[in-house]
Amino acid sequence: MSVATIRLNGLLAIGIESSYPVSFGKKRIKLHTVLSKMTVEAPEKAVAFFAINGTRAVKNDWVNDGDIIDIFPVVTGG
Amino acid sequence: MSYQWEILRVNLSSGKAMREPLNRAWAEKYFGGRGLGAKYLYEELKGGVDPLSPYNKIILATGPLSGTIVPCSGKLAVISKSPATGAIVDSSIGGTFASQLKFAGYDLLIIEGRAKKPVYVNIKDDAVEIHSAGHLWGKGIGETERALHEKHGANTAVLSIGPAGENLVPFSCAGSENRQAGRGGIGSIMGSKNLKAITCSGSKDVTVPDMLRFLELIKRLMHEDVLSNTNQWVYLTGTPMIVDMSNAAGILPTRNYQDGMFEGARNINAERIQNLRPEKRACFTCALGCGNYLRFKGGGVEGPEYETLALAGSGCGIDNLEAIARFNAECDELGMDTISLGNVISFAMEMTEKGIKDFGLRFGDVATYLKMPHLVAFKEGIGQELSLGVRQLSQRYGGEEFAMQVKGLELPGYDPRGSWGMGLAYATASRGGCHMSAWPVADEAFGKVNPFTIEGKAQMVITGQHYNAIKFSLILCDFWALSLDTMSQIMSCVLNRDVPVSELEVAGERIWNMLRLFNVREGFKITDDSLPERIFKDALKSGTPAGRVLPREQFDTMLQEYYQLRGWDREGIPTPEKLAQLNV
Repeated sequence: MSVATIRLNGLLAIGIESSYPVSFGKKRIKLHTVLSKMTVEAPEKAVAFFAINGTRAVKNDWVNDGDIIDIFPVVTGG
Repeated sequence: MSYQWEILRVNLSSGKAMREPLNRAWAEKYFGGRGLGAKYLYEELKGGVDPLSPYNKIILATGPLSGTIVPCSGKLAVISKSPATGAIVDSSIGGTFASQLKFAGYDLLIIEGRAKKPVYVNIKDDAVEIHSAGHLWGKGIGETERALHEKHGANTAVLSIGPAGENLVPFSCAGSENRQAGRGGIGSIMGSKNLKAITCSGSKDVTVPDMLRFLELIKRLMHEDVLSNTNQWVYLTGTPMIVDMSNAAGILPTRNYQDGMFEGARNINAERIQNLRPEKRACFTCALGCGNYLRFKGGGVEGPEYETLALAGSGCGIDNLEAIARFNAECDELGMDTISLGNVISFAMEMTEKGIKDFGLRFGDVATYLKMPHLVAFKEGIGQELSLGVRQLSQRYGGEEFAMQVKGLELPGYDPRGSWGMGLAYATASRGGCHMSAWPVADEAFGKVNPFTIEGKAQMVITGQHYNAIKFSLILCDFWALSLDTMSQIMSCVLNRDVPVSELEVAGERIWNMLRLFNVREGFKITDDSLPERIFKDALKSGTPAGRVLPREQFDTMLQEYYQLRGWDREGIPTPEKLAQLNV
């Protein structure tokens, strides 16, 4: 069994655990498959982008055992 | 109407203060803040004026919403000609100064001339006095503020400068209530006028035409818009959230933009700041409260904001959060822009490490880094040279290709090699390397638009520039992500006439052209709408943008498309037809 950790950043984590594991049976799977296994739903509109191990990723990228997936919220000014 | 229809003009040379009517035709076309301030400065200043001479002026501009309970309307715009760039500068600052100026009965305050000795101006409704500031000269911003609060009351708003402004450091700022009008050297302009501070308190009404309609609108906007999830990130984490995002997108300035990913990013991110349990602070009428106030042994600071974490943190190879907070606190007290000083230090670090000029500074050297704010503000030791800013320093010692500035203003924290539209936004911003004119990075590096193409970017930047031009003229805070339609509803209510979105769009374009006209008159050319050589030649090393530059020919194409869409000529000069169309 492989395990990746999902981290919800900023407002995406309001009122819920900001970090939790997602397990999968294969050595590696696509990011979109991991996201479909999420137990909480991050509204599409509120999500800016994803990162795997600190580097921006797209939904078609591979996720491996032990990877950390960040989900970043939309920000509107710096 | 929410305007007071009056200007206060203070001439420090003659020691006289005069009240005069606000130009209604200009207010109708430029509203307030950035736009109205730019119009007044353009009309009142002759081209070629030395920014540090008595002939330069400082305009403090409120907007039609200042002093009302419209959320996030507490900001003040400070407009002048910048000593750092020679271009127009507008810098906004939160707190309570704008509302107090409005309560005192003024839409604009214009400061001109130069006092013979250090002074501060005290405004209390109709009474305007110029006092000696000899006892305050040399003091920090917080210290000055406390002294003036003691004398004039805690509810008096104080805008002041620190030693950096007094010593004419070109990236010195003015501060109030732990916030700063940070960019472009506003502090040194006040210093050149021997103006230590302005204090202001007022007791007059700011009225709206139909209070019940107004209250209903504000109530609805608070529930449906301001306090919606879209804006909650501002309170929850504030701008430090962007550290991890920039790092993941590969655009976090690292060691003077030599890379876009910083190995120490996790040590200076929002999570680390939240672990320190910051107090939250907000400006007048703000429902969002972006300010994180951190305490550390021996002090505290409102911040650090993302820009400070990026330029004075990863940019200098520093991942010690407490050191960055201390650096930030000292810059705030001495009155210096952390974006520019961070850039200057990181440039000096690279110069040293490359063996071009030994400034005794190395990436990650916390001890030496922490000495820099004092040395620069007082122009002591190497601080004398560093106080020149990145552009002048590179002209003197070399390294111009990695002097990260545009028009003399040091770059903020988004590497354009990983966000090509951001490169165009920097290159064309009226005040130089600026992230407050347009922020396409939200759609590119942080969004769903391909950051590595020029397609559609010219229009994206133009739309953003117009949006911010009108937003910062009303004046509303950057952090309320409201639509033009919402602005239209607010303005229609406050001005008691129909203010359609189309009128706001045209006003945004008009303001942008006014800013451009100012710079054209000062001699700025197409060659000034450019980026540091590093952006065109040195590829980023890490993450998504690894191996990327912003190719110069693509940049040039994007710039020409930008001029064309704007109705400017090929040299970037607004055409007579465009100016006539906009009624500039």
